[in-house]
Amino acid sequence: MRCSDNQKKLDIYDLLSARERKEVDIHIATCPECAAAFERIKQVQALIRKAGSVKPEPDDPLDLTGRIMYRVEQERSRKRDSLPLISITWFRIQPLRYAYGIVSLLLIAGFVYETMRPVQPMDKPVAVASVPAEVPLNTAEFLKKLEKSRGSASDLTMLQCIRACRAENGSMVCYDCKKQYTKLYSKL
Amino acid sequence: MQSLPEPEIILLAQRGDTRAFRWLVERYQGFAYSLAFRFTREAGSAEDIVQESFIRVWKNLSRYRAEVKFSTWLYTIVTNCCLDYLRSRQGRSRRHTVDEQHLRVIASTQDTDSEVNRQELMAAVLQLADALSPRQRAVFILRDLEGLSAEEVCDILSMSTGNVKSTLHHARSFIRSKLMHYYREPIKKEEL
Repeated sequence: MRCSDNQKKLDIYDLLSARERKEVDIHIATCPECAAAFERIKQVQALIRKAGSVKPEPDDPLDLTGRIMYRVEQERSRKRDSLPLISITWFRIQPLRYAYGIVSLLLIAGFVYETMRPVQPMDKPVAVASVPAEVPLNTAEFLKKLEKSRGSASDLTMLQCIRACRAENGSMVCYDCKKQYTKLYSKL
Repeated sequence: MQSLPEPEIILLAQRGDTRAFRWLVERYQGFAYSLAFRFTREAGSAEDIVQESFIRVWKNLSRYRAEVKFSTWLYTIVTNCCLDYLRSRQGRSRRHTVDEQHLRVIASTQDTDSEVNRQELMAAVLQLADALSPRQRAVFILRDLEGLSAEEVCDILSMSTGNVKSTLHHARSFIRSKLMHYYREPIKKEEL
């Protein structure tokens, strides 16, 4: 080991590993210059230790404690005044934190799943609606043809029925009229 | 309160018990003051730092974990307050000059074992440390004056072991060169 390398280590001899100390010790044993430097360092470190043995103390420790506790009380009352209605302490309890985390993750996962899911087309209707009892008919044209052909008495009764139906329901006729109408219409 | 072990008192303080916190203040304010004074060299500033540190301790007590020694955690807070103080003082800093006359008087007395001279010696060392950078000063004070282990210094300052070694080497060689300048004569005599 060179003297320059060794002297860098002399100042921090107390922080060296056992192996490094052994190297330094071997060098010092054979190098009077480094041994003298080490001796000076030890003397200065002894002076510093003496300086370190003097513990500065506050003039009035009780007063200092009192001032600290006064500020702590102030801090405490300030914090109590500014507390929200629902205490945040609940959020600090570890198991509850995990529960909040899991619930949040489930909600997020559900939302993402619903957003990403492909839209299913609606099924076709199974049954077709049945024929209604009353049907709209073009009775005006039919009546014209009927009057022209001078139909039978039963035809005239049916005509009155249709007129009555029209007066009551507009363009709608009842089921009986419709049956007679279809029969008569095929004759015309 | 005295009969309870410290971890239980810390737990009580964490739950907001001010009596338990007062016990911690009484137990540790001396350590905090000693460290703060060594950084600032002013009683008033040191007391302000101690107050500020304990308020930070009170506010952050819920974050304290028992895996770390309470004293180490407190030292970290006090050291950070001291470094903040040094940074804030940088703009309007007093000059880092060494009172050479004062040091010569101390060195000439030779007898460093008497209480008065040890006080003077401490004042001289702190005056020399004033000329170091804040980080060098922190490492030097924590390791050499407070007597903390290298691991504790690493934890408090969040520095690697190598970094602490090199910083301490620079700090110590500076202090040594200055002290040897004034203590040259007695050392030479002892060497003979």
